[in-house]
Amino acid sequence: MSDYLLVDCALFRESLSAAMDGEAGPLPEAEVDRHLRGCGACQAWQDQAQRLRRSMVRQAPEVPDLTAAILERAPLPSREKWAARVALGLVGLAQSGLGFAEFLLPADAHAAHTGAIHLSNESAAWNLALGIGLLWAALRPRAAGAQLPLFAGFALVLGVASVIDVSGGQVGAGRLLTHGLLLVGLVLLVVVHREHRRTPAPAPLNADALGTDDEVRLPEQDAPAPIAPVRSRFPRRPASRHRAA
Amino acid sequence: MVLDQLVHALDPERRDAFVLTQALGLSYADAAEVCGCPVGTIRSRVARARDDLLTAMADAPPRRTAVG
Repeated sequence: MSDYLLVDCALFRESLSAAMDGEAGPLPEAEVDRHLRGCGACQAWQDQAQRLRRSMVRQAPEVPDLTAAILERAPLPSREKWAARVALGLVGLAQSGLGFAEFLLPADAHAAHTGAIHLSNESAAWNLALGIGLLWAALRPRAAGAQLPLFAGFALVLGVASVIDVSGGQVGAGRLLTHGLLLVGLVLLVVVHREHRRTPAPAPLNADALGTDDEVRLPEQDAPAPIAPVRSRFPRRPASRHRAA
Repeated sequence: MVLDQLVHALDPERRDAFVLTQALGLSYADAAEVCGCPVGTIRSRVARARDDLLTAMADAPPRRTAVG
């Protein structure tokens, strides 16, 4: 009878021990709880085992609280960075809409036979492409920089051409206004590019600098295969057990 | 430390399971792989090692004792 009880308790204690380590035990939890309520010896065992477990936990070394210093040096991504991107996205949408609208607008009657229709379509395709470029830069800010030469070049040439055309009276104010959208897009592109250009990558920590004086060492790199006896791999203990007797 | 001596005095298989899971912090599954035995074996060895240690600690006075 007492033998049976002993075996029984051993299995419950195995469950308690496993639960302490956060591992699955051999018995269902409810059954263990029911036994624990009725068995003072197992309650005491669990209590002592938990105290033993706590006593084995190594005290973490005291380290200064660097939270404030770290937060100061590495500010969290701010909302400001979103503002420019959202604005850039909106301008990109407007620019795309403009390009799309150009396709749909009916061509001038006299333009039809001067080959200007294709020119108009080409212009529409350009405007649409620029809009897509701005949208892409809004979605992928790191791509903003690569588009700068294209946009800046286009804006410069278009600006010079516009001045010439305006002085020659060949272009209306409404048409010129649409170029303003492009200019806004270019400015936002520069802003987004600058904001996302210098996000410094954190320097990798040198793991060797964190070396501990822990007594317990991990097995050597050139140790034999894992199946080999483990006991000889713990330097804390001599390879052969020596008994005084 | 007395606990070190008591751990050393454990049965080698139980000691391995105990040191791997408690001192090195391996999971039972990892410890089983290291030892080349089933997880359930590790589980029972850890429990028995605990049992042995508690018994030994109850027997030995808390002060450092000379171990021959």
